[in-house]
Amino acid sequence: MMPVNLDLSELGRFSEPALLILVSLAPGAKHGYAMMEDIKAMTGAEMRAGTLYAALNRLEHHGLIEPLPSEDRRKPYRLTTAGATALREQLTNLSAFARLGLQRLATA
Amino acid sequence: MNVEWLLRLYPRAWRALYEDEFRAVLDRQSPSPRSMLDIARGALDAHLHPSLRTGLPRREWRRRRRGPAAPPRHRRWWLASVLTTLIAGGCAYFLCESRATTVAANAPIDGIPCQPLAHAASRAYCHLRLVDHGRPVVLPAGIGMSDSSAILAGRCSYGLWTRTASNVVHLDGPSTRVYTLGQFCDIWSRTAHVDATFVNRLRATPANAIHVYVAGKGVSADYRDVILTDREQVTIEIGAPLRPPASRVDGALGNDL
Repeated sequence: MMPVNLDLSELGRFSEPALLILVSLAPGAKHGYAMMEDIKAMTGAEMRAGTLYAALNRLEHHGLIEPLPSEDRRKPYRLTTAGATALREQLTNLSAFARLGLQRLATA
Repeated sequence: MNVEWLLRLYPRAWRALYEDEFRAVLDRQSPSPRSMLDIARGALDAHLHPSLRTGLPRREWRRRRRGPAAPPRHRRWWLASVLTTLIAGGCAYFLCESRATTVAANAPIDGIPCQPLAHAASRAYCHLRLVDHGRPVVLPAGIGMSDSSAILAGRCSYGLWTRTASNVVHLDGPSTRVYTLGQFCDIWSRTAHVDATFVNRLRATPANAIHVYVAGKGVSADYRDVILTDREQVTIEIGAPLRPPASRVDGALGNDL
């Protein structure tokens, strides 16, 4: 799992699942089960339904994602502009942090 | 995966938002103790965070929770500035108005200044007898005294004044100054804190219904021109029946002095 960025720290223990969901939605809208599958493919870790919907609930509440009209019983979600901005900032910070860590490892 | 009993763990409002899609997800998962535990934790979380059950964006939820939207911060500052200005302006206005009223109240009347209160003993006294349609009227105490013991710093008195309700008028100021009954009536009517009923009635009464006596003798001149002198008795009668004075007041004017 990826480290938690402080910009999503407001989501508490759901900040890490929230980041994974945002990354999963970055290419386009997905419904719940598709997100679970995508996250499993990206990280190798399984995100269970209880955690997924608690995180979705928070992301929607904070305006980072929004639901689209339901398809059958499935409701797709997509990133909002605020969500895309937040995700970009998170990933930029993580990237800078990753470079710093690799530099320190190289000089050790 | 049989999720009916697990779904019932969630709040009703949460189920209204997510139940269908949640079922769709669970239908494609194999049941496991960890999945069930995860769902139970999710249900507990939903109970602990009621704001998340509404399905509303946080800003909208806060707006509905607090009622009408608060004005933007810059508007709040603007409103606060306006309110502060109004309150400060109002206080300043009332302070200035109060001061102006005090100054006006203490302004000279008919050329008689209001001077700091230092009456150990007055230089002269006269007795002013008032009769209104046969009924005697007592002069109120405090005529010619600037208002209110609460404003001691600005307290003063005019050269014509009354200490008690006893019909004795004090005459102060330079010994060369001559006071008239008209001046006393003007000071009386402008002393805001005393009853001016009689003097107002006097002003409203036709000249032929006013009878003035000095030292027991009727005076045909305008009552306003009657000169107040030391130890003199002046009588003013309004209307009938007439009750002319019996005689001049000699000697002491009572305990009022």
